[in-house]
This record gives sequence, C-alpha cells and structure tokens, in this order.
Amino acid sequence: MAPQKMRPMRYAHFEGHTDICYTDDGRYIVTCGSDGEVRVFEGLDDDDFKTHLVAECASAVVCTGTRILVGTDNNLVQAITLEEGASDGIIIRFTAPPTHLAVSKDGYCVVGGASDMTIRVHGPADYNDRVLTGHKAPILSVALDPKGEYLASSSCDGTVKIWQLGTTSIISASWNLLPATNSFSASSTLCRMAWLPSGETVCVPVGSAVNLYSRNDWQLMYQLTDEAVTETLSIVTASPCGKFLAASSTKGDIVVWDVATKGTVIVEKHPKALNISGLKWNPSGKSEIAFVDINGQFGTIENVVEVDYRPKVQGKENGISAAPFPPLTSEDYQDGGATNQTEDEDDDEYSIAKIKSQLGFADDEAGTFLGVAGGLHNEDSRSSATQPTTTTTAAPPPQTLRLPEPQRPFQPGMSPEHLIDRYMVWNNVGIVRQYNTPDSKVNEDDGSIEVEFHDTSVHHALHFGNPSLFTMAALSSQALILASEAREEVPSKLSVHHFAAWGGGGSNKEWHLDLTSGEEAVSVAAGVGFVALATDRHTLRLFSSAGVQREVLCAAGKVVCIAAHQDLLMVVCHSGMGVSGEQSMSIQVLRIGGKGGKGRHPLPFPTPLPLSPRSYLAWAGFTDEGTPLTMDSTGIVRMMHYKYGYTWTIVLDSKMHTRGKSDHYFLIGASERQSNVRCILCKGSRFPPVLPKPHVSILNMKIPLCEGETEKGELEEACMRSSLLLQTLTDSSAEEEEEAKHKIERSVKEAMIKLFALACRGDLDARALDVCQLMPSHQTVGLAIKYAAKLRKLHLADKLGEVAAAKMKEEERERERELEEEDVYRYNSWDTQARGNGTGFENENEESLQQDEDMEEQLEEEDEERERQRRQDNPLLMAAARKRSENTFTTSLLLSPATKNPFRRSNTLTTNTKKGIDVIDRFRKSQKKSESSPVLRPVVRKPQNKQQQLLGNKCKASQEEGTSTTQTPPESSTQATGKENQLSGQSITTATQNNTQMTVEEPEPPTTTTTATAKKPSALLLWLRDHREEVLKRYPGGDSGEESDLVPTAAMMFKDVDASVKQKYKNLAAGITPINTEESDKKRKLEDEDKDSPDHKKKSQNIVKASGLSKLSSFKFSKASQD
Amino acid sequence: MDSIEIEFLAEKAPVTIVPNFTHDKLYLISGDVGPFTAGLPVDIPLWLGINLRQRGKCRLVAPEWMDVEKLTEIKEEEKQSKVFTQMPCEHYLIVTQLLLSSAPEDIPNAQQIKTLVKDIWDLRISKLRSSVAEFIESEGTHATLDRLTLLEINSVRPFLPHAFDQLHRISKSAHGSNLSQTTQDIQY
Repeated sequence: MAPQKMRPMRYAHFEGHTDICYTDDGRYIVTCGSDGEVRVFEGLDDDDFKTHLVAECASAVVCTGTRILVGTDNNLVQAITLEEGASDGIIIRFTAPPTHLAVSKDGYCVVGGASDMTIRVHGPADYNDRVLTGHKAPILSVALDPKGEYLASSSCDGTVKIWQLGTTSIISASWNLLPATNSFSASSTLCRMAWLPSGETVCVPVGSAVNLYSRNDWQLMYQLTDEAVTETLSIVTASPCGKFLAASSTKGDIVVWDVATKGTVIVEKHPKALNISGLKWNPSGKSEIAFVDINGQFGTIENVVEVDYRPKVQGKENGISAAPFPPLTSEDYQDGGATNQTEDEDDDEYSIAKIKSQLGFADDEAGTFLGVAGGLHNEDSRSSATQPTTTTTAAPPPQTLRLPEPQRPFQPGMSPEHLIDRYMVWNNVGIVRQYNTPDSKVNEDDGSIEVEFHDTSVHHALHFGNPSLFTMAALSSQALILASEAREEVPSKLSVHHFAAWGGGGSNKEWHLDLTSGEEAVSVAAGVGFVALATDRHTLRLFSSAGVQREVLCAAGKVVCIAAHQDLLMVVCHSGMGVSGEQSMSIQVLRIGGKGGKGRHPLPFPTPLPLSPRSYLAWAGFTDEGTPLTMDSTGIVRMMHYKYGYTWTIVLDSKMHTRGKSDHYFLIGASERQSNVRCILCKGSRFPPVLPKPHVSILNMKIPLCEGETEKGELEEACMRSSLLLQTLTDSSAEEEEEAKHKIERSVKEAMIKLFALACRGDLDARALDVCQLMPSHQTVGLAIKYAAKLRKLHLADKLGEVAAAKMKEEERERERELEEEDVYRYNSWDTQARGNGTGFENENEESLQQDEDMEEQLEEEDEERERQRRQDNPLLMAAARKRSENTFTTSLLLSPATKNPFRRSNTLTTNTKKGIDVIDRFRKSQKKSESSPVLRPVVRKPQNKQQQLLGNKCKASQEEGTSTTQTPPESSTQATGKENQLSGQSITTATQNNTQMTVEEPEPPTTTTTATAKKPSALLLWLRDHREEVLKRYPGGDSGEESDLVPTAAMMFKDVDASVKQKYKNLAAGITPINTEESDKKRKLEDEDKDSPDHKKKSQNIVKASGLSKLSSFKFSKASQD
Repeated sequence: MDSIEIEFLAEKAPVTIVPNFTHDKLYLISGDVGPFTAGLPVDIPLWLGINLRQRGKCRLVAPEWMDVEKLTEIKEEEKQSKVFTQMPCEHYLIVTQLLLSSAPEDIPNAQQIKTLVKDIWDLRISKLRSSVAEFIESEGTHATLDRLTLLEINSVRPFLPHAFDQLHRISKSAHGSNLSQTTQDIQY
C-alpha cells in the first residue's frame, strides 16, 4: 500500500468560512466559500475546475446526484446543477444565512440549520418543510440519521439535540455539551456531527474528544481521543465503510480512528495549523479525505487507510468480540444485521457476480448488477421503514485497478469545448474564436464563429453563425477548416473556406462534405495544398484544398491530434495502454507532397511520443522551420532531434517561467531560427481567456542543463542549442539560409572557444581536450591550440594538435565524398546554376578566417581585460605583469612555431581551387603551395602584370616622345595591341619569346610585340630608319612622313633583305636596350625575367648577354647611328 | 523648452505593439525598428506605434505600469511620501495621454487609468507648488528636487526663475532703500 500522503494545499476560495463536500460518486470535490462561488474540482490536481457564482457569500454546500445545494447569504438554500451551475430552484428559505446542510443519501430529504435558530427539513411531500424550533441560538450543524429516523443538531447555545424526523417537536435526547456563544462565527467549534453509516451510533465532537452515543437509548458508549490532539475538535466525519472516523481540530489536526479498535490510525497536521472548516470522506471506495481551512485553501489526504474488503469482515468479528458494541449486537439482532448492511450487500454483489459468471450471463454489469442490488436493497429497506426510497446506497464499489483514461482527441491550440467563449484554434496564422450561448446546443442559431488573422493581408476577418455546431477548426494562410461532431441524425460535417480559390462567385470559395454515418471527425489540419481529417474510425482522410478526395490512410491507433505545416502532416495516435497513469502515444510525420507524397518523410513510422511522467499532450505541431514540436501538460516543450535517429530533446521547461503553481503557458508556435517559443501566459489556468485579449509572450528556448546558471552551463547550453539549429538549417539546405548558417556556425565556434578557455583557465586540461574534440572544424581547434600555447600548456597543445590532425583527415574525407556527390549532381544536371563555385567558397572561407581572427582578438581582449582587472586590484601584480609581458614576448618568440597558427593561410594566396569544397584545408594548401610554386603559375595574374607594365611603358613612351619623335607611331601601335594581348592571354608568352629574334615575315609581328618592342626600336624600325629613302622610293604615297604608313611596306622589303643585314639590325636592336631603358627601373626587368624564367630561358639568356655586351652594343649603336 | 518639445522627446519612449502585418526591419536614423511579424509583439518608438495604430496596422499593448493595481499603488505611495517618488516612466503623463487618445480600446480599464494618472499628476504638481511656496517663504537659496519628470519641471520652470528674479529685485530695492535710509539717518 502506498503511504498516506497529505498533498500540498491549493487555493479554492477567499479567506473565510469554507465548506466542502464530495459528489455521490466521489469523483468531484465541491467547495464553497466567502467569495460566493462554488467550485467543482475533479481531484486536487484539476486545473480546469468549474466555477459557479451563486451569491455574495456561500456558507454551506452539499451534493446530491447532479445537483449542488448551497446555503447562501441571501438566506436561501439554492440548488444548482453540477455541470453548468445553472440555478435549479430554491430549496429552503430561512430568515438568516444557513450554517449547515445535510441531505439524505437518496437526496429526498434536505435539512438545513441557520443562524435564525431554526432547523428546516425539506422532504418528500408528506412532511414538507418542517421547521424545528427548540435551539436558543444559531444552529451549528445538522446530521441526518442514515436510516432516516432521527436528526442530530448542535447549536451555539451549547446543546446537542436528537430530533425525531417525522415530527417537529419530539426531542429524543438533548445534551449540554458545548461552550455557549451567541453567533455562528464566534463559536469556537463547528460541532459537525456524524452518524456511522449503520445508523447505530452518532458521533459528536466535544472538546478534544469524540463522543459516541448509541441509537435509541442515546447512551454515551465511549470517547475517542488522541494524546496528540489537545485542541477542540470541531468536525467529525465517518468513512463510508463505517470502520473509521476522521476528526479535525481548530488548530488543524486531523485524526483518524479505527472505530473497532478505538486506536488512532493517523494524525496529520495542517501545514499552517489553521482552523479546518470542512472535512469530508470520499464516498467512493477511494480512501481519501478532503478538507478546507478558513483561509479558503483546500487539500486532500490520500491513502488514509487501507481499504480492503476482506479484512472488513474480520474487523466486524473483531468488533463483536472486542465488544465495543455489546448493546447493539446482543439487544437487537435485526439492527445488528442492518449494521452490516453494506458489508452484506457487498458480499451479495460478489456472490451474484460469481453466480452470474457461473451461469454464463452476458457480462453487462450495468443493468443486471443494479437491478439485483436494488432488489436486495428493497428487502433491507423493509426493515428500516423510514427509508423512503429504493435507490441504491453508496456502497463503495469494489476497488479495481484504475487504468488511466486515454487522452481525448483535441486540436492543438484550442481551449476546452465546454467553455462558453473559447478558442477553436490559435496559431501562427490567426485566431478562431467560438462564441456559444449556454443553450446553443439546443438552439442552433445562437452560436457564432469569428476568425481573426494576425496578418490582415492574408485575409480579412470573418464572422459567421455556427448552425452546424462546428467544434473543431484549423487555420492556415490558405484555408479555414471547420468540422463538427456527429449528432443524432446529423452526420459529422467538414467545411473548408479556401481563401486562395478564385473564379465564380464568393460561394465557390467554400466546400462542404458530410462524413459517412458512423464516422466522426476528431481532428482536422490544414497544410499547404491539402486538408487532413482524422476520424474516430482511425482513418485519415486527405483532400486537396479545393476539395478533391486524395487519400484515405489508416492511423496507427486512436487519433489524439493531427497538425500540418507546409507539406508536412503530423499524426499523434494512442498506441497502447500506458503504465502507471501515463499516456502511451505514437507520432508520425509524413510529407504530403504534390505528387502523392514524394520526398523524404521526416518520421515515416509511428514512433513513441515522449511525455513527462503522468502528463498528457497539450500541444503538437511544428516550428516555423518545420521541425516537430510538442508540449505536454507539465509545460515541457520538446523538439525532434534527428541527430540520433528519431529522438527528441527538451528545448524549454515553460514552468520555469511561471510564477504561480497553477499558471501555465499556452503554446502557439516556435521559431528555431530566433530560438524562441511563442506562448500565452495563463494565470491560474491552462487556457487563455477570450476576454480581455491576452498578449503573446516570447520565451527563449533553453535546454534544461544541470547548473545552467553557471558560466559553463550557459556556454554549454548555447553551444547545444546552436548546433541543434545548425542541424535543422543543414537539413533544409535552402540557398538563402547560407548566411544564417554561417552566423550560427560562428556562434557555435564562439561558445566552444569560450568553453575551452574556461576549461583552460580552470586547469581542467582533460575537459579542454573534450571540448576541442566536439569542435566543428580544425580551424577552431587551431585557435584553441594557439590559446593553449599562450597559456603555456604545451602538453595540451600537443594533444590538440592530434585532434586537429584527426579532424582534418575527417574533413578531407567528407569533402571528397561531397565532391563526388557534386560531380554526380553536376553530371546529371549541369544546366542548373553553378551553385557554390570555387570563388564563392573562397570568399566564404576567407570570411570565416576573418571571423576566426576576430574571435581570437576578442578572446585576447577578454583575457587582457581580466588580467588588467586583477592587476588593478594589486599593485604588486601590476609590476609583475609588466615584467611578465616582456617575458611573454620572448616566450612567444621562442614558441613561434607553436604560436603561429600552422594552419593559417596567407590571405594573398588566391589559388583556383576545386569546386564544392565547404571548408578548405589550409594545412594542405600551404604544403601544396610550397611544392608547386615553381610549376604552378597563377595564370590570372599575368594580364594584370602586363597591364601594369603597359602602363609603365606608356609613361615611358610619353617621356621618350619628347626626345625622339620618330618612335611615336610604333609606340601607339603597341599600345593598341597591348590591350589586345590582355585578352588574347597566353599567346603573349610566345610573342615575347620571339621578340628578340624578330622575324618580320608578316605585318602582324610588330603588332603582337609587347613590352620589349615598346622599350627599344625593333630591328625593322632600325632598318627602316636607315633605309627610309629606299622605302619611300618603293612607296611614294608615304611622303607624308608618317612612319606608320611606311611600316608595312618596309616590312615587306625587310623580308627580302639578305640574312646578314637582318642579323646586323637584330643585334643592333638587342644592343640598344640598355641605353634606351637606362632610366627605367631594373626591378621591372627582374620581374620580367622572373615571370618568364622557366619557359623562356632563351630570352633571359639573351637579356643577360645583352647586359653583358651592353658596352659593346652601345658602341655599336652609336657607330650605327653615326653611320 | 516647450511642452510640445517634451512631447516630442516622450514619443521616443518604446512601446510594445502587436502588428497585423509582416515587414522586414526598418532602418531609421535613430535606430533599427522591427522586424515586424504579424501577431507577435515588438517594441517600437511610441510615435511609430501611434502612427501604425491610427492606420489600423497594429494593436497597442499597455506598458507594464499602465495597470490599475500598479497605478493605485504608486498613487498611494505618492500620497504617503513627503518627497517625490520614482515614476515608472519619465513621461508617464504624456505616454498615457497619447496612448489613451489614440487607442483607448487597446488599454484595459482606460478610464480608470486616465483618472489615476491624472490623480498622480495632480498630487505631484500640488506637492511641487507647495514646496515652491515653502521654499520662497523660508527664503532659502537652493533646494533639491529629485525624481521630477521633465514635464513637471517644465510646468514651473518658465515662471519660477522669473518670479525669483522679481523677488530678488524687490527685496534688493527694499533693502537698498532701507540702507539708503539708514545712511541718510547717519548723515543727518
């Protein structure tokens, strides 16, 4: 047996006298208080309790059937219905507020005591509204004999009287037991009496004891006391089985006695030792006591005693043998039989059940069982003639294993259906409210539905009547979906307002559908392009948004709810009976694509849905990014976590943000990218009220890590959360998300590095290593190495080097695989955009590098800051630090290979890399560079250099212009061709190669000549200068003196000149160089040399030769010019 | 400073709105605003909030202090205290006035709040006036007045220094004439 437990109390009413009672079946606890409200709780944990306002102040409450009788300050005993709280007539009128009520088990006889000193008995027609006068002060309490013969009453005048119910004046007994006061509120005791269910004993709390009087002779049999209780006992109540008595004192003690043994079973203490103003025993078999105090708080004690029916018989025997009731059993056998009435009945029940099963009757307990029991009861009631009815007594039903009730289907984002004004749905798109009138279930025209869109550009607000009694709604930016439950004769209906519909009249936007009879809608969902409907036949019907029936799928079980987002559909079903009060559900997420579900299903099979212990599902849906998200009734928000298959992770404990115990958050949506959850704070309830319109609050996601408040915890949390988001973004892999992805990556790195630094500073090297192993890329590890080296943790740095190497290898593999994939992709569809080509990645890479550096700086700054602060605190340290800073300099020099990031890549290097590489391996690259530098030429650069040279040439040309005018024309021609060369690319090389051994075979060579020609006049030009007359003779049109015009002709002639002359001019042309380029810097020459070195040795040799022979050639030149 | 100018300053106070449209960030000179997501609360300057409200683009959310309970508390405190108490908002009167005039239906218990804020204002102004009177009567030379809001200071500022000047002049002349009289007396 579970230990008895007193649960924490909860608020029920304002401060003041509060009363409590159970409904006959023990399912609900009803309280009333000085705020004039009656509340109906379904157990202590019921957050969705009903509240009925009856008056300014209510002082007494009893339940009978489905009615609640309340004594109110307007001197009435009113009846209200349990469910709706609607008034059900006035039972008794007093001239002062009633103080206590009692009702017979059958509910026919109602007795009330009031401050006007009268007791009124409202009963069946034969003794209607009798007034019992006799008390000389306000009545404290009344108690009805279970046999319906007597009535016990207590009053502020200190007396306790036993009345004969049939009459108005005959008093069977009267004792003066209590201290006298003059008003109900001033009385120190409430003197709530109780009859044992047998009716043979009446129990009266007197002082710190309970007096038990026997029936008929009204003799005091004995007193029950407990040494732990010294205060006045004011309430006594008997357990439904009659074995136990519970009493409470004015100082909050609760005592339970075993009537048979007179021993104390338990003693409990009210946590605040407040006066208890109401105490009741659960009339069902449940061993539970409920109580209220004068502060309006209400609580229960569970498992008060072990309720077991076998020992009960034993107990009866014990009772007889121990002879606390000798007069009863010996004197009146019949009464004795009646004492055991309930037990007998129980036995009968059992035997009947047994017989029934033996005879093989249908196992339909309801009819048979009650019928027989009723018959039995009739027999019994003959013995007690005053019992006016034949209704069954509240014999506790045999205790069976209580199975948890499977959660009923719901719509995510709705408030409960019994509310008059409720939300049918509140989601990211808008709000659908349903307004009912209390009787709209009957009158179909009264209800209405209002749709409000958050974004008014989606659709204007809608308001329409609700004649079809829709109870379920789903809303997307494309459609509003309404569905109703089936009623008699009326099938379940589906109605869709398709906003995006066009053409025809306005009526075309709506379509309706009746479900087949026997099928009922339980949940609806609206996705993009489809509408889903779950029915109680465990089927899922899919429609297109315009109403084409597309699929009928089978759900894995009883559907709890369905939700949709874009083309995703989530189905939550019951998958079995949960253990120990838990729900057992499964979840499935499908992609309802355009062509019959093409593409990857996020959750193709029903997998178990995680819930907190003993909770139920409160919300299910998707984040804005399309990841499944749920919230359970304990406020835990969970998100799908694909990292380990189909697992879930907790992203928020919303209860952490609530102030009160009964405050809850009502989830609306979540955004992973912003890392927050949108919800509404509901004070004192689970659901937001319709009026005033609540405000959405935004809670940041927070993974509940241990020690989340410490710096370490925070960093770990940030790290984990960011990588979670990264996962989602990677999965979605949309183009525009690259930027966001980089941002997240950066934040992960940042958090990692900080975590690493934290571990380093705490001298937790092993942890630091662990952190590094979790780092996303080796670059980050590189940073960490640098940091470790700075802290002179060489061993750690060494280890990290290994980690970095391993990571590098891994990345390499990854990249190769990606490359392959990409190749395949390219091959398959190379008309698609060249996504992520080399240069793009290059940039990104540089960017990330930049970021890393930034981060490093930041880290350093942070460190410095810390250091400085420490120094400022201590002047000695300051001096030491100065010294140390010098030291660190030297060490950093010493450690230069370690401090220098070995993976660092120089920014200037721009190699054409392969495509599709996400992270470029710097280490490898640097190696590659050193290997390949003599061979691999950055081709792209060449034209650039060319241009520079050209520019230089131009300058020089303009300088030369002044001195030798004759050179200008070819100069300009080279300029023009130079530009061409830039475009013509590599052919230049050959041109330059040849330019010294200039063969002027066709007119093109001079045009293709480059820098070299520009610097020095070519052999042709020299020849032309010398043989101008000849050329002019051959080409008379060239008189104008334009040398450029002459050049083609000259070239033709030069071609024909014999080889020796050609050679001479060639030598001349070569020899001229040093002289003409005297003022030009040697650097450029070197550059030229360097540039062309491997391929053009000949040329460079020529140049060297030329420079070696410079003197000679200059001499030659001057000689030639003299010639 | 004019009260219009103070209102202008007050309009920079942040206010929470629930927009019914979706829009990217607005890059304004005074800072970035938004992004706006339909149905989600966002903090923006008051002037923008009122403008959007007038165009029916949003719902204003009453600031936290604009609550009957809180204001009653503040009022009580102000009543009990001899000195000025800290106001929840530097421009409480203006903000209330602007919000209530542009969107009374967005603020729960608008009428009560209006009354309460006016009461608080009256309390403070009367406190200010009485302390000014006391100050003058006691012929003090300086006084500290903490936690006054801009508008409150401005309610006495244009007049008070001027009045002091006049007083000073009068007292000076009275003193001077006294002096001259005495000197005359001596002469005589």
